[in-house]
Amino acid sequence: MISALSLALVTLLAAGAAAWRASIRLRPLLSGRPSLRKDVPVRRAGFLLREIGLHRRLLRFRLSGIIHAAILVAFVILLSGILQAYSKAFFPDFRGWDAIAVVQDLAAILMLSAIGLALYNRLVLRPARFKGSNKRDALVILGMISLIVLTMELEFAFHIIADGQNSPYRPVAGLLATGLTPLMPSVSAAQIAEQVFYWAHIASILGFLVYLPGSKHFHMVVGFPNVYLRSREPRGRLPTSGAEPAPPTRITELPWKGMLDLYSCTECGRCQSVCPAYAAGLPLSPKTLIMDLRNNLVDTALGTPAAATIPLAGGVISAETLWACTTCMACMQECPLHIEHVPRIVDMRRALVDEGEMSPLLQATLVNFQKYGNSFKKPARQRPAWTKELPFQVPDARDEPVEYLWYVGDYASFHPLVAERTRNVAKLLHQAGVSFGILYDREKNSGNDVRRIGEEGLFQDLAEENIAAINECDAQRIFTTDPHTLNTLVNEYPALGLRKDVVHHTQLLHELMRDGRLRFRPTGTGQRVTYHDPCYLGRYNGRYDAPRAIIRDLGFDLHDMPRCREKSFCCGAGGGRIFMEDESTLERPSENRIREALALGDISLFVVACPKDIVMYTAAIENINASDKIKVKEISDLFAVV
Amino acid sequence: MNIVVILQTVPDSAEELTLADGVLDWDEAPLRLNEFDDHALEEAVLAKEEAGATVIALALESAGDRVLQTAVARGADRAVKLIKEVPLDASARMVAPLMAEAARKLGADLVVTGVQAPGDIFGQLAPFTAAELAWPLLGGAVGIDCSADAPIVAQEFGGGRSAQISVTLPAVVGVQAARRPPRYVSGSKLRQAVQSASIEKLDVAAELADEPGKLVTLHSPHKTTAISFLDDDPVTAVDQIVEIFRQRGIVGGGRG
Amino acid sequence: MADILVYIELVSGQPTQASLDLLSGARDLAGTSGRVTALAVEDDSAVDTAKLGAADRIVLVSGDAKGYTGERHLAALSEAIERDKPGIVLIANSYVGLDISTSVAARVGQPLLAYCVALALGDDTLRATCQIYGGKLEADVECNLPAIAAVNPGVFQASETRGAGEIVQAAAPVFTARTMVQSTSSASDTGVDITASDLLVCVGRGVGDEDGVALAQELADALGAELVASRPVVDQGWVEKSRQVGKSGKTVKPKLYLAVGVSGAPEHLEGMRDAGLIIAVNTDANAPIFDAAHFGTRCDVLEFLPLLTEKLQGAIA
Repeated sequence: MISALSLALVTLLAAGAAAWRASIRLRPLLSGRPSLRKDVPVRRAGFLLREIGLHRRLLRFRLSGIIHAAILVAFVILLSGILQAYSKAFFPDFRGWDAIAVVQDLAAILMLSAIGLALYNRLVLRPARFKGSNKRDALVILGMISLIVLTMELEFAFHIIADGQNSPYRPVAGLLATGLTPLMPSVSAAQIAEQVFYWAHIASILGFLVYLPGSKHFHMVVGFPNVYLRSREPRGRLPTSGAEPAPPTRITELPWKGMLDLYSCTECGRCQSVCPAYAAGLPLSPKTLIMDLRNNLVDTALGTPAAATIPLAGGVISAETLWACTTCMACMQECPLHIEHVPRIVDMRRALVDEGEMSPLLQATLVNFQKYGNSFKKPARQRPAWTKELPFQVPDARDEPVEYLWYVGDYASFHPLVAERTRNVAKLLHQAGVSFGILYDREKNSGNDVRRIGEEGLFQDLAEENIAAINECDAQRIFTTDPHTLNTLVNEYPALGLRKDVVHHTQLLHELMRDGRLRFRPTGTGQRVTYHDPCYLGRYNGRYDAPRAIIRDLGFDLHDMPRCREKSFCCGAGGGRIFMEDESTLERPSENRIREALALGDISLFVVACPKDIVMYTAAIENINASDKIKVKEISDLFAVV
Repeated sequence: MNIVVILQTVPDSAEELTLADGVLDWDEAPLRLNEFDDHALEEAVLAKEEAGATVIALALESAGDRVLQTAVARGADRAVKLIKEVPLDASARMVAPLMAEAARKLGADLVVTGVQAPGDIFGQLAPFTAAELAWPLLGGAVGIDCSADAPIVAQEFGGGRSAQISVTLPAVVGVQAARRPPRYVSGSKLRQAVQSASIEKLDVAAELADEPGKLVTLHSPHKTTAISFLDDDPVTAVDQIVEIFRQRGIVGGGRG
Repeated sequence: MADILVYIELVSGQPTQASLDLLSGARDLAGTSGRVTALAVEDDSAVDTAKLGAADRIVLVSGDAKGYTGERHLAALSEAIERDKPGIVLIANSYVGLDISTSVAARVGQPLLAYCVALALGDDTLRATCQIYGGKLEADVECNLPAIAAVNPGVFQASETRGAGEIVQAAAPVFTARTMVQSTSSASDTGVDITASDLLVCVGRGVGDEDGVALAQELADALGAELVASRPVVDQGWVEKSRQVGKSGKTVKPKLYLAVGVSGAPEHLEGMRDAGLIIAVNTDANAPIFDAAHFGTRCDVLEFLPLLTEKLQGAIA
């Protein structure tokens, strides 16, 4: 009855067209920079299966996660329907499997309900994260899936009518059949209708197949390798620009995995919804950045004139967009496809830096880093100036063995607001009898932010000089109060020759409290306080608990903000943003964050654990006139306050 | 056309300068490229980019390789180190004969350097070098246009007065500011230059000139006016300033 | 006492204030026995010799109406030195002075003392204090006479003069011209005349960025003052050149000079030190601007600006 030949023919045609469409788009990957990650295949496969099976990232956005899970489950089940449709054509005696029939029928309902919810989400709820996404593509896809399912059900229904007997295994199709029977003048009419919907079903499947490579739903194919090949490096270790020293300047020079990232993007906008730059009204959305790169890649692949010659930095992506990023990692934390936005952005910044294209202020700051080793334009010998007001001498770790080498950092050394806190920490450690020393004039900026500005060479210089100085010291461990410094010391310096355990002062203080070395009395009397996870301590390095433990041990009533731990919201200073002009047009991230804390109600202290946070949030509180409601405290302040 | 840019390192006045026995403690002094020479290099490279030229960076050996490597990363075509025993505190007049001979040997059509240096109490290098070479000097330059046979130098004289002067080469130009701030050299380019830039060595026969002036002693400036310091807290300081304004009739007289 | 030759810098026939100050200083240095000669190279306008009364003798050298070239002035001055053999030549340390003083010293083979803020004459020596390293240090220097000194503006004050001295017209100097004036311009042709304003708010590098400049502009508006700037700020393109104060900009004498984030390099100070009231705001307690200011505060510039603006708006409203 069903022409197996014509089915085979159209299928081959459609599959060919789909493969052709996909291959054109994927061809540039062949000449991309090498980026194959061949390590630990089993663990990678396991991770991929877990990500799909548990939907961990997807479910962080509850409704969308559930919708995705439903569509995925229904889709997998309905694949059997497709198999069945083909079997029918090639094996005329094939009658289908009753056991699966029920599941298919229910899956159809599940699928249609999920699509209904998805439409409701997209058309009625319209979360802001969809802004800038291709809505038409999304609706076409939802429509096509609905068509596949509906034609299948109708085919079943007319089959039932033609058969003249209802099947207990197809409750939905049966119900449909009951409804449709009066419309059917004859059995043969029903048989024709069955044929029509059979072919409509096949056509919608094949149409979907052909449409797919040009759609964001291409992630159904490339998402698998993309998640499998995800970066397993620590988040705080920024990749270099691939094998070549120069950063990619054109889309065709991206590492091929970077191109795969672009095709994997589903435009879901989770990244956009958590991006502090986007929230501030700066011209950056991680989503549209990836989409713009993808469009340039597609244009290049399709041979659009000049597409391949547009420079990435300052062309495909505007310089203002690139400089807006705080490198807070929130986008990469949320992306269900494990797309690597931040390394891509930094690579493009590297190209800008190489061309000297940056604001005068940023340029002046980088010159300060080059000449003075810090952003404050302070001579090296003023580095230890903060110790002058201490009642004791801080040892020079290069001259005498110490338990801890304190890597102080720029803000903690030079910013008056922070230096006061630096002295607090020194006094606490002194009181606990900890032997610690500093590098005096040999310490330079660690280069964490310099690297993220895109100044790779300067980072290398700073790191090499710092490591040489550190290696002159006889110290067991290193500690710092600065999460940015911590990050590069922990994740990036080892590759350059640092062999020391590095801890944050919150961890050190907590250990000292636990071991009874730092004697303290709970200064808190149950005040409601909140704690802000610094990006580079929390999301980058997973250190969430020591600061919280200290706050509680000191007798404060800690209430987390809705965006806490790995969801923490960046203050806006990271990635070198603190050295650039603030062109926020909407609410500044730091002010947004203070309002979030205030919304908890009755919060008196905003506790931070990062020098830049002290500066940013002190200013934010003043800006929004909230000084009488809330105060910024560094963890170490809590030992004496209130 | 060959443009020789003379680069000198000088004590960085942004840093603390320590004195030893009434003279600068040169061992401790943080030496940096003279800011005006930085502009001179930028202007030379700009001129080259516009009109085509060979930019040769020239420095005393004591300036260190880094200065010359940076110049190469910034766009200089050649880097030349002048080999001669020169004391760190040698005056511009003393070193001018060396620079002049080097410029001749390098086939300079144009010698460009900073209009002044922060410690040149006995005169500046550009005019002394011009005198040694018997070439015309154009000081206070804020732009060099080499597109014509006779380059045109923009000079500024303060009070907003400026002039465009054409000059028959060879000549010496003292630069006070390049047309745009010195370009940024990324660390990567710098590292590349450190690895690849070859620094030529140049011997000169000329001897250091005598310096007829004599430095007796260096000291911190004697304060001339006695300043009254207001509060360091901005809120209080602002109140105090508004009060001063009121007293002096700068803003509306008193309340009401 | 030695004879002194003072180089007079002209702008359209008018001696600059710095030259006049220097001429008076020369008069004092020369005492009663020394002769003071003022030498000016004519430009496009008749020289206002009446202002040069402090000199015993005024030498006017034929010039080029098209404008200044270093070559011509160098030749004129060198010829005069070789002819008159003065014990000391004084040149005001303006950009023109910077252009020719060293050249002259090299040409006539005499020592040069530059950036002088104090001069003392011995029997056959000249002693000077020179301001160097951005005003951070002063050097006491000396040399034998005859000598040339380039003197910073503001060291001497012009006093009442006693009528014109003898005027000598000298021929154009002999030299091979290798430079030629193509065109000249004056920033005061365009833009605002900041020297006409009684109230000035000056921004320096310490304001950080253009946002800081905008804050200062708001303050200037609230105060009814003009915004001016130091060289680094102008070099960055944040404020137009016609608003630059200092050696390479303009010299101003307002009633109020509020310097915000200005470090106070000598080149800047010479352009504003005669302001009636100088108030400096700078976080660096060692900034040389505090040496010139009457009042100072070391508070944060960016905090300070909006606070004062707000206060003034309140005070005026």
